[in-house]
Amino acid sequence: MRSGLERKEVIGHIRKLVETLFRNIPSGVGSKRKDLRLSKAELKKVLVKGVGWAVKQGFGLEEDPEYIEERGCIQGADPDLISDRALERGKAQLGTLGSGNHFVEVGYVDEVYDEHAAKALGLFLDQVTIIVHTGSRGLGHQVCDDYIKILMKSTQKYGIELPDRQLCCAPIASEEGRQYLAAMAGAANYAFANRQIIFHWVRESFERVFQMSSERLGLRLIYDVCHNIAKIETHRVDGKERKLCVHRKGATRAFPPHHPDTPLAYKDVGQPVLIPGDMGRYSYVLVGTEQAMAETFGSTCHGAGRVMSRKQAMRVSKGRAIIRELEDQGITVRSAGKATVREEIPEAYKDVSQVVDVVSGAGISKKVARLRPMGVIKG
Amino acid sequence: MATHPQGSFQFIDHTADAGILVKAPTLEGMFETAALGFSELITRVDSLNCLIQRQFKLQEDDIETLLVSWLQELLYLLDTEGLIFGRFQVNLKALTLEATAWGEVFNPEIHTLKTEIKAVTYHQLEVVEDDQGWEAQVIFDI
Repeated sequence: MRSGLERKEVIGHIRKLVETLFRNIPSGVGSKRKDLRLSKAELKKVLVKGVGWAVKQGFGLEEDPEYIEERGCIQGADPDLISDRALERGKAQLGTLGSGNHFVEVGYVDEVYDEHAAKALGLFLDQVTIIVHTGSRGLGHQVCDDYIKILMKSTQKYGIELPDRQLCCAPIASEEGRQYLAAMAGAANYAFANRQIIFHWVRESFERVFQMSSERLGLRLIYDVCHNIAKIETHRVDGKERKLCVHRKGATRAFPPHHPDTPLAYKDVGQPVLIPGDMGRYSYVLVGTEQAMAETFGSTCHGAGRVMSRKQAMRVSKGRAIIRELEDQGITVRSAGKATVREEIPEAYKDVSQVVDVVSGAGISKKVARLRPMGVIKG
Repeated sequence: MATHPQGSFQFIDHTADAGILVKAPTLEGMFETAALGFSELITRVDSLNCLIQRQFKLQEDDIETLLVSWLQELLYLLDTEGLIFGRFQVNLKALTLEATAWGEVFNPEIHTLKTEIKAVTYHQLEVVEDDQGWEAQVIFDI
């Protein structure tokens, strides 16, 4: 998300802003908003409609879906293929951040690499931005658990040999394959709605702190893009248009300028790509390229990736006041779990700048701007 | 290495995930110890006041799947009811598990959240029997 605010207007309010975001957006085990309770029937609507459901309920603006992959709704979701158990887990967790590497980050544009693209995305130097990273929560994991059980049997049925049971699979066009894709679409739609609700609470938090409407604060969605998802798309293979199932694991979509799925407002520059780094360094905004379309089925990397295990990170950070260290670098952190901050210390991750240089060097996405964190909430 | 009357567990160091390696003289003990290791990954088990009791009955086609299902049951109750358990009693008859667990509702004011487990996986899953008893490895998505 972008704002119309500059860094200097926010810096004096950052503690209050982080505290307000932390209060408004539930994070950590068992946290939820008392004012968001869903019946099973209502939850099924979320799974079918995604962001459309959230906007209809008053979470966000009519224009928001225009700036979301698939307009926040993957077609073909079938809630009847999602177990009661998944629905039960999902009911309590819609509108929650979760823990681990999930976060909400307030930052500012500290470098612009491509003026033209930055302008199209509404970005300028020193502008305050917000990144939300979360997904389908327990519902998505339950869908995965349920279908792993089914697909382990399919693997045997179709005589597929695997080095690890977690890699179980079935042909896309089989009954199990089709059912899984319809269930996965439901989980993806839940994730879209989850983030949309959180965007809304981000807007509300800014409104409360700055005593101004989110319209006047200029809080607009730049883009919401998925990662770790399989999509049915059309790509050119050996000179021919082919319908493919593109599985982006540890990857995110990076469609080029003038692609029909790139939002109209960005048609000249390409689909925005967000690559978050660790909480102490940077995050990047990039755009998709023709080269990504030709070489990686319109995909690029989705994050920095860890270099240290959580245990190693705990060992390295032992006795250190990480929150204070980050505070000294001008980054306010609020976390539900004390261990999370230590497990997620900046040095536990690869340097995102190097990762981004690799993907831009390879031409599969193009750097637009670099964002530096000011405040972070974590689960 | 933590010790439990029925067995012992240790955490496995993994870049992106977390895991437990469990050893116990009996299969029942291994299931109990694995559950304890699961809870210890999430919070300090010795801080739990185990007053709520829950019964479980599960059946699967093989022992590995039964172990994963057992831990998935515990994760499900944590996700939906906030329940975390610190004491377990498991009975196994072939591939049918009957168990009782004692625990309480996770309270962030009292309990430290060490790790939020997203899923129990089949990745590098192993259950083996040797002359010392049973050994198992489970990796969690966190």
